[in-house]
Amino acid sequence: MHRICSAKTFAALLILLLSAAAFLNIAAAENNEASSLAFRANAAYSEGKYARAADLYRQAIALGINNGHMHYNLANAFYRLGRYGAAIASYRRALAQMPADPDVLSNLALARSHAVDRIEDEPRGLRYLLERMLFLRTHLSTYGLRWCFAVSYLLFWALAALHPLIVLRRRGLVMGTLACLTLYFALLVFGAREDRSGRPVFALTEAACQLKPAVVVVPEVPVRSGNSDNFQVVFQLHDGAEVEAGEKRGDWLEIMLPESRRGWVKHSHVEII
Amino acid sequence: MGVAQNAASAAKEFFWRQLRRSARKIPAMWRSIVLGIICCGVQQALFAAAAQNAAAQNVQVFLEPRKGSVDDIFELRLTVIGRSKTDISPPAFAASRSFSISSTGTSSKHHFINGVQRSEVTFSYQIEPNPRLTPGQHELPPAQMAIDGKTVKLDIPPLTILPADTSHETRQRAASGIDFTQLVDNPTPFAGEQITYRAEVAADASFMGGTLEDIEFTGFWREDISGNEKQTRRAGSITVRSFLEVLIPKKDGPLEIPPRILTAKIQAARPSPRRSGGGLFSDPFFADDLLHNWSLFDAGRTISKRLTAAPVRLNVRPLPPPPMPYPGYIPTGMVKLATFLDKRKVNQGESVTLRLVLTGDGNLRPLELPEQSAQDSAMFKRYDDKPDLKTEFDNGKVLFTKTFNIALVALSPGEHPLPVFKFLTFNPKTESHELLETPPKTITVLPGAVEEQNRLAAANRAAQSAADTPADKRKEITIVAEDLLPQHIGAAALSTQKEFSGKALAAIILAAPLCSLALFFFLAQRRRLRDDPALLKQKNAGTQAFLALAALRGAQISSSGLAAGLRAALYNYLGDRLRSNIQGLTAQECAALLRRTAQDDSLAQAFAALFERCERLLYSGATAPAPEHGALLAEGEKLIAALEERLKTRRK
Repeated sequence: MHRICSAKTFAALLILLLSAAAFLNIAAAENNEASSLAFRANAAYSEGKYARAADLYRQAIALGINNGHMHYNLANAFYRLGRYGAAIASYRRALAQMPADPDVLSNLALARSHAVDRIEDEPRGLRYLLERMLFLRTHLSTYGLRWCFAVSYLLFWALAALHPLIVLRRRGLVMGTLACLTLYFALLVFGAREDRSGRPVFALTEAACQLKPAVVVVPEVPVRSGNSDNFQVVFQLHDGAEVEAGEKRGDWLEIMLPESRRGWVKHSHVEII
Repeated sequence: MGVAQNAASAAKEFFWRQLRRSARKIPAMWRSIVLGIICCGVQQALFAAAAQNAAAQNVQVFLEPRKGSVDDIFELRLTVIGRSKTDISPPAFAASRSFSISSTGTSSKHHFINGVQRSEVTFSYQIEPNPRLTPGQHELPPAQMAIDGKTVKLDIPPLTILPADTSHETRQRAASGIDFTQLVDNPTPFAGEQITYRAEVAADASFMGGTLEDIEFTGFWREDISGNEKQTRRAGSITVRSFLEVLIPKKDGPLEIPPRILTAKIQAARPSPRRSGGGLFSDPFFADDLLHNWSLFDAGRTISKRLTAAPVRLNVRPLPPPPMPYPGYIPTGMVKLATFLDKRKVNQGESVTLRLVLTGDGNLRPLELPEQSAQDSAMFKRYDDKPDLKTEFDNGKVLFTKTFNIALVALSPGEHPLPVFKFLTFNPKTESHELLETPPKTITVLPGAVEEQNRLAAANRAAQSAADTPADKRKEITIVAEDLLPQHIGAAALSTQKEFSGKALAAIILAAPLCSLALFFFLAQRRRLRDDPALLKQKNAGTQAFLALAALRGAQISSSGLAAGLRAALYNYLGDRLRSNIQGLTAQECAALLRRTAQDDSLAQAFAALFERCERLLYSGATAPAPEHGALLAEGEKLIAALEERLKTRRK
């Protein structure tokens, strides 16, 4: 009697655990205050008070409405204010949550057209082909990718667990496909990142994982060879220039550009996406 | 002698006999081939000999005319007459300052005359004397040519350059019936007034055409009248050919159209049949007396003459001062103005298109729209389209049509008078200024979206431009402005961010294999139990034994019955638990088996004692329930629980 009860309890606990894991992050409680701020921000934007609108949008984001739409609206306000770098950063954040959204893509392209610096880094050859493998990352958000990974991963282990019960005609093929799918999603979730211009690239080393896209948000930035004002200015960047941010030392941030150009800027001059 | 003759004839006969004998040995086919080759060789040899005997090469020089002025153009022809296969290189002339020699072509003829094949190659040249050449006899530059590798020096006769007066007479005689002049329709035009210039050639049938040299019309605008510049009219036997130009004097003052040269081709009069000597007509082919020195195919010959028309002098009159201050350009000519408005009622922000069409013979090219006045600027925003200018040649004049498309966007709703556009022109007929102005018109502007006005006006202009291309009637989309797409304001914009946290992901990554493993073993165990009933019985032996003892406790049975039931329950329990058949074993044998399995002597002894007690009670024959029934069942349960515990402990 005692043994039978313990087995049932174990099964129930297992189901609970799986359910909890699956629905752990579903939280949709309305935040009244944040919603009010968003409404006021929209009204301010319509009236042409873009600075006020940007401020309210930022407050709404801080209070929890941290979704792609709000970042998009904030970016629009920045664009109207002529702060194209900040607008690009916000559009990129919106795009991370709403990939392939046509509005975001259109406005981002418009904002990028105002960027002063032309930095070209088109992948070619093998690099282009490899990065094409990561195309799904530009169509699915991080949330969606994690879900896809979780579902394929759980499905794989569920099939493995139900091995004694379920009789599949081509079990090896099904299990192999699921394993490949899981590995692909794992690669997208854990082994890829966005480069400075938002393209997915491999990030299989620790150093590569530490690089983050960033945007210059001030009209002009002197990029120095080291992390203090005593170092020489090696080149200059302007509002809207998209770079990759690396190591941070105090108030200074190392930035990287194609063709091994790198330097240090003050952290306040760039916004990490 | 007779012997010699006999020997010779014998030898001859021997030769022919041997030849015939040898020939008979050769097959017929080879005989034919050899014979054919021999025949061809003989024929070639005969032709070669004939060619060698043919007439030697003959170079004939024709120069016409032999006398002329520096204005005349002389024709030189060098004809090489000889065998058909002749290697002839073109003549080479020495450099000369006195004459300019230019080739006008090469021709060749091949013909048989009296069974003799002959060929002629003619090189034609045009000789123009240097205008500074003094009258008198002048030698042409020496020339030579290579014929079949041999250099032949050409004997070119000298030319006689006549004095100017003589030359003029000669020219008039040679070009009798040709008159070349240049004239204008109005020698005293106003500045900016268009005039028609004509270069006219009045000639009889001897005029075969010519080349009119272009001249610089300094001080004039020159209008393009391509396709209309040549006119021809007939007056009796005289044909007048005119080359027209439409000129517009740029400014007042005296102007001169420089002299103009016409190089005319004139059919020369037929020479006398008695004419002898060299020249063109000494050509042996044409010198057939049968046709009176003229070939049926030769209708005559042409000579080139250079005719010069006298310059034309004009006195361009200045325009009188305008009657009013007018900063813009004033066209001179008859000009009319027409106005068109596409709509009278528009929404605010929409544009109306005002079209001004100016037509006339005044030069409208420099004409521009006057600037917008301050009053109009306050009322309308004006967008001028690129003006369209068309010209048409009619009746010796160029007719200009200039169209201005003006998009007007009213800045406020209401009734608005359209701006009035004024153009000042000068009419040369009346010799007075004329003011052209658009008629006063009003438009009604309804309230509308003010923000759109600039973009719409620009779009209208773009559409108007697109409509001017008739090839494709579809209009291209004109990007007026690039702007942001609007805010996201739906319910989705207010939702909180969907997050799949890293911790949840880590939990799933760790838990899934563990759960899967547990589930796997669980299901595997279930399957084993299902497949092995003895194992299931072993697993459930304790439970079944407890249930059997509980059933005995509640039953009202005799002591022997209880003992039999308890003994059976215990035997079943031990059989299932130990997975062995113990039904036929004695108590001591069961104890021994239990001792081996459970490794517990006391427990084995206790079971053996209980079995013995059950057997004693069974075989005692007691029918009534004994008071120790409860103790017996309790002893059984205790032993079963102890054995279960013992086996569990041992398994751990």
